[in-house]
Amino acid sequence: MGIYFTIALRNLLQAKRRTLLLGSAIALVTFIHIGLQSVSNGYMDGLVRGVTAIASGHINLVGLSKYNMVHMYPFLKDPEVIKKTVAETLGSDLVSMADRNSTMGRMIGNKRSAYLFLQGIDLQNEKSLRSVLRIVQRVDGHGVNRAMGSLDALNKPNNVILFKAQAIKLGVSLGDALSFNTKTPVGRNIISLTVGAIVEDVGMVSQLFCFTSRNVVSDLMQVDDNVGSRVFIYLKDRDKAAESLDALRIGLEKAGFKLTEYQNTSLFRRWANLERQDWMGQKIDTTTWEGDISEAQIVINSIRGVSYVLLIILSIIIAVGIMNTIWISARERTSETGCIRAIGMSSKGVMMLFMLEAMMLGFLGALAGGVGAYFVVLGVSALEIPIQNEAMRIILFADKVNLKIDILEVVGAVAAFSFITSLAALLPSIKAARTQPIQAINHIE
Amino acid sequence: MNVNTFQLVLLLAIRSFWDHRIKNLVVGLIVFFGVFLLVSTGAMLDSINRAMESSITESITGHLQIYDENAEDKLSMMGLAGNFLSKPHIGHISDFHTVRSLVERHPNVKAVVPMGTDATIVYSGNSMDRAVLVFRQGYALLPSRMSESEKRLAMAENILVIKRIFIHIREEYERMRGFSAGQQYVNDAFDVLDKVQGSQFWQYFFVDVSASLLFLETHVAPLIDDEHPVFMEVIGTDLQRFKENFSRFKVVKGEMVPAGRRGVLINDEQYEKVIKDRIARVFDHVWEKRTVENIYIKDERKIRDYIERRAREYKQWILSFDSHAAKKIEQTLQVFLNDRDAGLDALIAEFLALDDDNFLERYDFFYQNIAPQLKLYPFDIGDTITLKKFGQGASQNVIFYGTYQFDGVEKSGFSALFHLVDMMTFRELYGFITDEKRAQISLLKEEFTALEWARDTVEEELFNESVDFEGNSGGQGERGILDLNADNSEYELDERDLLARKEAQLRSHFHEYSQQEIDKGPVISASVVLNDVRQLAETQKDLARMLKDEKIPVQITDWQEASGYVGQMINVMKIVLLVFMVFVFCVSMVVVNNAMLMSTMNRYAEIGTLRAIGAGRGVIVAVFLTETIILTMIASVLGILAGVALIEYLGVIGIPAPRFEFQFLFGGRRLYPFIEMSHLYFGPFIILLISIAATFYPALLATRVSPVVAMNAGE
Repeated sequence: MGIYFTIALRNLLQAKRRTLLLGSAIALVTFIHIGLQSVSNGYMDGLVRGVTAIASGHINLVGLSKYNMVHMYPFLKDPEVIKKTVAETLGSDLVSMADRNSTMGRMIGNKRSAYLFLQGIDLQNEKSLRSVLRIVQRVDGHGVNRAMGSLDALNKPNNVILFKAQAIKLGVSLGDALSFNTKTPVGRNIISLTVGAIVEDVGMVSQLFCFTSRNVVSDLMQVDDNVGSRVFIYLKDRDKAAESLDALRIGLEKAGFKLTEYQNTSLFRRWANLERQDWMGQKIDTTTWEGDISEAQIVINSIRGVSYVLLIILSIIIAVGIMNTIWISARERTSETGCIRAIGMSSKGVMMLFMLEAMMLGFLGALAGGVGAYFVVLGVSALEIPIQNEAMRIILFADKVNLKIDILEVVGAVAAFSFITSLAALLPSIKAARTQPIQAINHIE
Repeated sequence: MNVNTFQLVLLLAIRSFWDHRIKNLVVGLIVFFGVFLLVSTGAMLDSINRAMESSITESITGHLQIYDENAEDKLSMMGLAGNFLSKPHIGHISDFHTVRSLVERHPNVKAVVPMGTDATIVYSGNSMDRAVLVFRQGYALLPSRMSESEKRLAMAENILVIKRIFIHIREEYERMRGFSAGQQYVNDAFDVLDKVQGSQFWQYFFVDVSASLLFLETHVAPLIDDEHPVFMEVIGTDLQRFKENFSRFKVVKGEMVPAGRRGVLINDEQYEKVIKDRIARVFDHVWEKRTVENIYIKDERKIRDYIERRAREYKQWILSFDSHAAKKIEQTLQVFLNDRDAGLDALIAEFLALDDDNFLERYDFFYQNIAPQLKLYPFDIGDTITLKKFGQGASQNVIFYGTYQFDGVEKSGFSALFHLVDMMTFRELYGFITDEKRAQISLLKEEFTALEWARDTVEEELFNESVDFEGNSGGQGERGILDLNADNSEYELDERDLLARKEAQLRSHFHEYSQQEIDKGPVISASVVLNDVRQLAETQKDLARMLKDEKIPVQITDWQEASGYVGQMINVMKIVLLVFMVFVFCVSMVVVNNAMLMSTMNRYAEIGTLRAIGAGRGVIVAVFLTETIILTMIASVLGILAGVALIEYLGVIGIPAPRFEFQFLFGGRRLYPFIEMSHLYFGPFIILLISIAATFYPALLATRVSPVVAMNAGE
């Protein structure tokens, strides 16, 4: 077997130019494929990380309350009681729970105003949130690094934590005053807030949410202290959210809570329909994190779709190129093949020789591309390049270039491209193997 | 190479072209397909580009936009969620007239139209407001000589409606108590309800009807939260000039706002699909699906879900009927559904269970018998509506003259964003202070004090209490209470007040503003429409220089930037399409290259023969190249013809937009692709180059082989 390798390798080295050309083409294709894969991975990863900390738990319970048939508010009565039911139902699958109250309204800053979800939180319970919130550090006039506030600011009355992009947009800095105007069940209410901390952005979702203490939202919405809005449930395994939710729905119904019909799409999308339904009182809406990000599914699908189409086109190009090369290589070496055949190599052996040549070329090319792409991806994501184009930011749901690739995916891609090249080499190799020794020796280059 | 050699080469090429006709057919087909693909995709791409451009420039942005130099944000007329989500800082142009007269001097400028966008809300009153309004209208018709008890009898139906609303409010606050028991406003609400539901209120109701109604409006109506305000994003512009210069603009229903008048035009798509009664929209939607798209209820789950979802809103729908209409609908439905004992609830629920068999009949019945009893739109053409600035700010009363659409792109989301309002109203709405406004403010101030004054007295009058609900004890005495004994004195005040307001409104509604009044004053931006779009870049430069020379603090930007999010989307799309083109190129290149390579290499023996009988290397290469050129030319011409034929054919019949969203890309209901000379030579030229390169290299290799060797070579 070793001899085959030696001959194949020698052949490759002999046709240096061709090997280099085709090898680098294969490397490039592998590179492009892995690059695209890393874009869609990074997109998905950033989205899930941001969303599950900022806007949703692994399972999300939202109280929906209607006093009349027209308007609905996110009020959840006695979240502590519900949390108890959740803990009893889920048992050891449960890691933690956080309950928040929230409202949507207009945050009015110095320069501009923006529509935001104001979330009243208890940082003590918000482990995931704490892990993604990083205080912005700014170098002041004296070259000293200064933190833009601290998360503890929420202990002070009427303080708010803003994301960096929001602070810039609203034109406010640490300690500045803001006002928040929202609709309540009896008209509109307005409240004054102070910027207690500015934190680094966490993807696109962070443009929509800001945080304050729970009593601020209660005061604003004029509800009692025992009224929350939503309970975020964090599980041991986020991929088992759907199963846990099934169990949870049964548990909640048994405990006497009314639930909305189950539909695993974001509540935001269903809000208007639920608001128009003719029930009144309180119902609990349940979603998993997958449902909450279903809006973004279309982007994931289209990135994947584009990368598959590209993959097919690129594979065709490579396959044709390989076929071409082996064909030429077989032709050029017809007499050589004849000699080998004459001194006793079987036709299978000849075929093997050519196949091996193609496989080695394919493997080495794909390997080079794969390894190169892997390091480029690591390098680019370490650089944290900001995305300037607004449309791109919206499409990608991120404000920094976030690429992510798993080493297994690289291995998979290298294997796949090696396989494609071998497959393409099959036909010309068979043809070469059919060469009759006598005819081949006569063949002149 | 002399003439003879050339003839020989040509002859040889043609001969071998024929000899290898099967192989050439295959290669030719590949070239044909490559050229065809390049020509047709190139033309399609350009057509889509042009269509998108016209979608935007002919409906909203014009070709260039001029706006404040000191704006901190970029002008973005089609923001992602418009002005509702966040308000950009784009400043304003302080005097439109100066800019216009300057810019219109440029020969390529057709017109300059003032522009501005803002978010507004239209409230149409909650159930109590409506009930009071109906009561007031009915009461005004009663003869004044009627006795109190006769009036009470005549208005019994209306009183019942109001009392029913009280019950609803009480239930609502009972529910609210579950969440806000500790909140003062809930207790206050129960106090008010106790009062109006008590016997005293109705006992004294007819003693002073207008004061009683005023109490309902000022104290009871604010307790209710049951209306759906209409959110409207408006463009403020010079409506006449807008109509003349934006070719896609067309009035659909009603009429154009008369020149110089104040008025609003509502986007037809929004009027029909967002503002109209929700249940009526179900019938419209199913009808449209059935007749326009030929999709029936049974075909699509989405339609079934939609019908089902809306049908579940029937209780809320019934609440919006007035008592007379409810009775009439009940009677006709009993006959129609052949169920004489059923109540309205059951009848409506059954009526809304639509399927393909009963749909047409019910559709007709709905529009003949039910719709006339309802208010299908919260405001009808000819009504005066109140635009309230979203967030904080002023309200403006303005006549709703009609609906409009942007022809061809009326159903694509972006063009249904805006409603159009005249410049004078917009300026006041936006908060620019005009001279006229200044006069009005002082008038309003007087009015307001009068109104407050009246409100404060209402309670005392009705309940003879010294403490009102806000907890201001006394106090009113000093301001002077209206004489309770003087009959109807307050009613008269109300009437006077109303008349004065109406008159002021009429004055502004029917005042004809001169062009100068419209032009003089601030605007947010100015839209420039050009004569020749191809000179856009140069004109933009010229104008920028002109404005700079005159030291007008403005900047100028093209439509793509000014359209904001949509414009950026176009860029992203262009990149995607370009990448697609590059890939098409790559594939055709590789395939053509491969085909040529194979066909050349398979002819080593032939090359050997030629060389042996004395053909030089140059001749060999020339023969091969000529053959390739002939082949590529024939295939290319056929490919071009096929591409042109396809595009011309599509250009005549048009490609229908598969979905409404595509109207924007297609610039209308159908895309009519066109083909230009530039599409014809680029693709084929590239293919020819590739073919030559692909032949040249192997042919050159072949000539290096010595004749003897080559002749011996067999397949």
